[in-house]
Amino acid sequence: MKGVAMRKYIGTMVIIVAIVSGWSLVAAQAAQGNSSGASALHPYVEGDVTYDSNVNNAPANAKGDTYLDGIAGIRGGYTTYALDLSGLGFIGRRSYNDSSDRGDFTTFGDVLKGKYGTRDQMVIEVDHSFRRVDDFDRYGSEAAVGGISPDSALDASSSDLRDIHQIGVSLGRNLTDKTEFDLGYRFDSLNYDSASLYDLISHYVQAESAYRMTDKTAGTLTLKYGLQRNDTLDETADYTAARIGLKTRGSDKLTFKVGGGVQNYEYGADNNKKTSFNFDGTALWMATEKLMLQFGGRNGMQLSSLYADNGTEYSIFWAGAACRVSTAVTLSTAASYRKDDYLEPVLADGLLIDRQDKGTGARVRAEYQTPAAGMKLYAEALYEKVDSNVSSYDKTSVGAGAVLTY
Amino acid sequence: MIKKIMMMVAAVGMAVSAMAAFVQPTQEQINQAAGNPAAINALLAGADPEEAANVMKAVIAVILGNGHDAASQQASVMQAVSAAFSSLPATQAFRMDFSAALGTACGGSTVITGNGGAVSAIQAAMASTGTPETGGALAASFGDSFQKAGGTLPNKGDKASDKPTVATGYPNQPLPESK
Repeated sequence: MKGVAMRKYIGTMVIIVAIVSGWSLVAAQAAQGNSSGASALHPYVEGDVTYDSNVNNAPANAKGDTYLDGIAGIRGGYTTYALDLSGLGFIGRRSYNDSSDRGDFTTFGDVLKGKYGTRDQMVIEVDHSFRRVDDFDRYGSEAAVGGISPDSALDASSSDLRDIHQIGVSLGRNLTDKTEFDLGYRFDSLNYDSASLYDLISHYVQAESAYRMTDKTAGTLTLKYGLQRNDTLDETADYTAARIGLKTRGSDKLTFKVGGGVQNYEYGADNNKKTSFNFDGTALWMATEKLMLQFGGRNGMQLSSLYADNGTEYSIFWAGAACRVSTAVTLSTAASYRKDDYLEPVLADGLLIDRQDKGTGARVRAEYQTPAAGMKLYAEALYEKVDSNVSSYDKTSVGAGAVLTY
Repeated sequence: MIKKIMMMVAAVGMAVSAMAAFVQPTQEQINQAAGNPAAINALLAGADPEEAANVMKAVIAVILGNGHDAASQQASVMQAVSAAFSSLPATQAFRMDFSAALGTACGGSTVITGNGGAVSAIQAAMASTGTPETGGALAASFGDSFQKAGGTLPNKGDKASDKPTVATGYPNQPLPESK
């Protein structure tokens, strides 16, 4: 690693350790053992062995390899009437059987969340996450911050070392018995280690009002503005979206939030403009106490990490299910689909083409809670395929591991 | 006539008392209620389901940090939740809303989601409220909201729960989440 990059790496590590340590001290104030007052701390270690059929996500001549993942971390929380803090800090190391196929790497980071107040007065949520990842971002789904859907999705291959930094702040209040209002800000930074990939930064502000139409249903109006920046090339883009929709409230088995409207994007040196339909929706169905299903989909526009003066209009859909088969066994599965349409033609093999990528993924996982308290075993299989008129690949991985939590 | 007026005054007084505005408790009051379920009644006066749920979430969290053994803590959690149902309006609709709100509040608390025994104790207290049918509905309502809020219902031997492993999103991407 280059000298400057190494200093930045070490500096970031120090900051993360300081943040997590400081947060842990606050959460564990007057702690005796691992739990005291309204706080709790749970250290954990996790290890797994996985076979990956295509470790570099290569379009041809795929190389398979086996790797070991080891992770140590701590989860914690602090609860009072109006305040909830939760968070985790982790550090992990991946070692490939044949490191000539792909280099070993270290991953670390934090996910910290705080919530204060009640909606009748004012609820304030503050979130922070920094994650250094290479390959799958295993804590990404825990790091939704600020009440705004993340737009820092990758169009580059995930097999690149990258730093993800996210900060979110949101305010929410019930203005009347029927009207709710939420205002949120979100910062996303995606910083690649590779000089050939562009680093992206975005700032988003979202305002949302909901008006209760029935006991269980509210109409919503959502306005969103984003300032996106290619930090490598000093390019910017403006994103705006407006949606109307519906959301449920209360304790129904099925809860959902859906919205549709229009989105506008201004990007590139020539201030190119693109306007299209915008949607964002999630649904969660507790089919039984043991079976939970999730569905969702949304679209947006973002700058590219691969091409200058270009971006993608993406659509993502996903579905998943989790089933508690017994008091010791849980099965889960998920499938997802993403389509990227690049806004400007790209150069491929000397020709300008309209690039389109279609990615699909599927995952199944079984967890077994052993009789030994705090020890969980799991097995997992993933399939991933990207069809592109520029660069396609597919891969399968299977693995098994154990988590030991104190 | 005087007797009727006195009865009316008494009735109005009881109604006003029942409609007394909820006062957010101090942490000291929460701590006291955690050790004395009889004190929960006063803390929940005038509370709507969400307010009552936040009070009980805080009480349960304090119980889980009192340093007692797990069996004693679970018994205390059951007593506290039962005391809450005794203090709140006895309609099934209110109880269902409270159970759901408590599930949401507890599902957002790492202190509680990390203690499977406590979650089981909460559901057991709900299941024993009213008839088996109505009590079961309360426990189920709690369980649904608890899982929707990110909690995982306890498996045998669970210590700290991860987020439900329902979906991972597009390969290599964080799962988009809308609130």
